[in-house]
Amino acid sequence: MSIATPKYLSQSLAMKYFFVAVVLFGAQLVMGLIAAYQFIDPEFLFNVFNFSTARMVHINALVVWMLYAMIGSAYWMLPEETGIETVGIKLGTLGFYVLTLAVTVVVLVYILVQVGPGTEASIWLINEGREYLEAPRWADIGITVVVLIFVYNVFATVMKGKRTGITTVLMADLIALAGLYLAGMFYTSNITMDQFWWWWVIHLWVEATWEVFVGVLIAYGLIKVMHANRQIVEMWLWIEVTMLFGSGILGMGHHYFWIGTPEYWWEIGALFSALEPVPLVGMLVHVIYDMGKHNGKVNNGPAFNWFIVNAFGNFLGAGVWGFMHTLPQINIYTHGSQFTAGHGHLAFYGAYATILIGMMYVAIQRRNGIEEMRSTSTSKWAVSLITIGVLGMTVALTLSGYVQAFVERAEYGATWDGYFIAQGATWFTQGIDWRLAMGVVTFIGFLLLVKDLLTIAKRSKALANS
Amino acid sequence: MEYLDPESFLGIFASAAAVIMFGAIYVGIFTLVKIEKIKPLYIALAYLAWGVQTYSMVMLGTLVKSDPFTVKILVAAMVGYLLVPHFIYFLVHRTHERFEHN
Ligand code: HEM
Ligand code: HEM
Ligand SMILES: [Fe+2]
Repeated sequence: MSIATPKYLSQSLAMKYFFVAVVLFGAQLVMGLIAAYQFIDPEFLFNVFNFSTARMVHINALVVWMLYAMIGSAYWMLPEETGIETVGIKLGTLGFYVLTLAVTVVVLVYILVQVGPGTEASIWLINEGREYLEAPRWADIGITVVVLIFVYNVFATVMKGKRTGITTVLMADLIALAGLYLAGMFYTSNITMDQFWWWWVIHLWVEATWEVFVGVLIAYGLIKVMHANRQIVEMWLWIEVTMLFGSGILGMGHHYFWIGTPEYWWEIGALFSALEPVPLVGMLVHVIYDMGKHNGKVNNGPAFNWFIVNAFGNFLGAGVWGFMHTLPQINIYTHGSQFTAGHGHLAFYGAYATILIGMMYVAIQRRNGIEEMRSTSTSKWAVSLITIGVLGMTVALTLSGYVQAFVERAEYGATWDGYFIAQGATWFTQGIDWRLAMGVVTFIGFLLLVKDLLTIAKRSKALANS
Repeated sequence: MEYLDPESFLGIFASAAAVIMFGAIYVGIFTLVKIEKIKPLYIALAYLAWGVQTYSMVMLGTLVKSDPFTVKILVAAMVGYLLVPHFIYFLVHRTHERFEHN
């Protein structure tokens, strides 16, 4: 069976989405480096480009590049799974240009205008002020329209073409994912209520719908890269979906401990979020299972490496680091500390960045009809440096967070003084220094990744012809 | 909710991490035995990992000052965790029989 597929327009569109995703990933890292440096030298760009702005662009770029790569992955898989060109692909392509234009304007406004007065107009034009989802309302509405086009593309294509377990889960998941975005769009002046709904987007994205999306990508990836048996893979997928939604939905309670929501959330949040690592163990074992079954024979080296990092990264970042602070007894000491930031970095990287980069390699291979794509030394350096960098940042932040829990929270009872004493503690500041150093390592890895993505197809073809 | 002893912080984070890590080691070894990558004998190690996991869970429960009843529930949950992989491989086995041997 040849790996080459017909030139579907849907897959051309996927490549466009991947391209913008990588650009935004780069922007995310630059912003992270600025913010990390400002921790050490608070005067740096003070009142020109403040920490709050750098941080905002850092995490918004993160969310947007991942959504781009997810949309790209869906447009990539659709024709292969359904056997037909994506329905309404012209409209979908138009949507891409509209979305990218909107994102560009939003980023420029973030960087150049930054903040506005506390008026309704600022919400509409500059910044909605909800962490991770700061896009102003005009852009929110635009994003919703484009995503509706995308969901229509997926829905109509799945209905018309061949139905597989993978496309069924994908379709249902995308409808949920898009619908949840609406929960982050309306403004209430009650901060408890505002946070309550905001978590519906953040938590139910990363701990339910996005994880299910990852399940879909693992299933597709194992079939394509290792020729895993579809029936078995899809059976695993259904188990994963059941467990992810079963634990993840009420697991949201772990964000309702201290925001003014009723206390029964303590028990609900503790119980269900403690179960959340179980499906993550399942996903890790699923990959080990198929690797063992197929003796590790793969047709795409770099994609496979990224899938492996995903299996372990998801487990460690979300599973282990998540579980360590998810019980209310513990969370009262770690809430909002650098511990949380450590978890956020490893989880977002391990669960999402990795598998989406893996998908980019899959797309590059199949787009160029390369039967077997081996890792280049650049591919290996890229995945190693980025992974070491993010792991290093996580460990550094965990140490800083530990100091905060111990000194600021336990010893000084979360007081004003305690906060500043902890911020000045040697272990804390060293963690912050190491985070920057490891961030630089991550960034070098990223540069190599870009080089590899741009050149690996040519190299593989030259290798095949020689 | 009772406040925790700062001295037990390290033990709490370590036992929490151990619960998840040994949980993965248990099902990981279990899987390798099931797909015949390693000798059936190793299943003993899988159950040993489960034992360490259960011990870590009880330790975590105690360090965060759960009441004795909650600790019992935790042990019951661990028994559930012991059974889940058996059930999943039962399903995998059946799927194989249906799709690969006809
Ligand atoms: C891939 C999946 C996950 C991602 C990407 C992720 C990411 C994050 C991020 C970014 C935050 C900080 C949110 C903020 O800005 O306040 C956070 C908070 C949190 N996460 Fe996760 N997480 C994931 C899975 C999990 C899991 C499985 C658990 C539990 C087992 C967990 C437990 C928590 C808890 C308890 C908090 C609140 C921390 C605090 O109180 O400051 N997470 N997560
Ligand atoms: C060059 C590498 C990076 C550096 C230097 C960096 C630095 C930072 C800094 C300084 C913050 C603000 C933390 C705070 O408010 O105290 C932050 C937040 C964050 N970063 Fe990064 N970052 C980098 C890469 C990444 C990557 C690769 C990801 C995920 C794939 C990521 C995800 C996040 C998330 C989710 C937050 C919010 C955490 C929270 O609210 O707890 N960053 N980063
Ligand atoms: Fe959560």
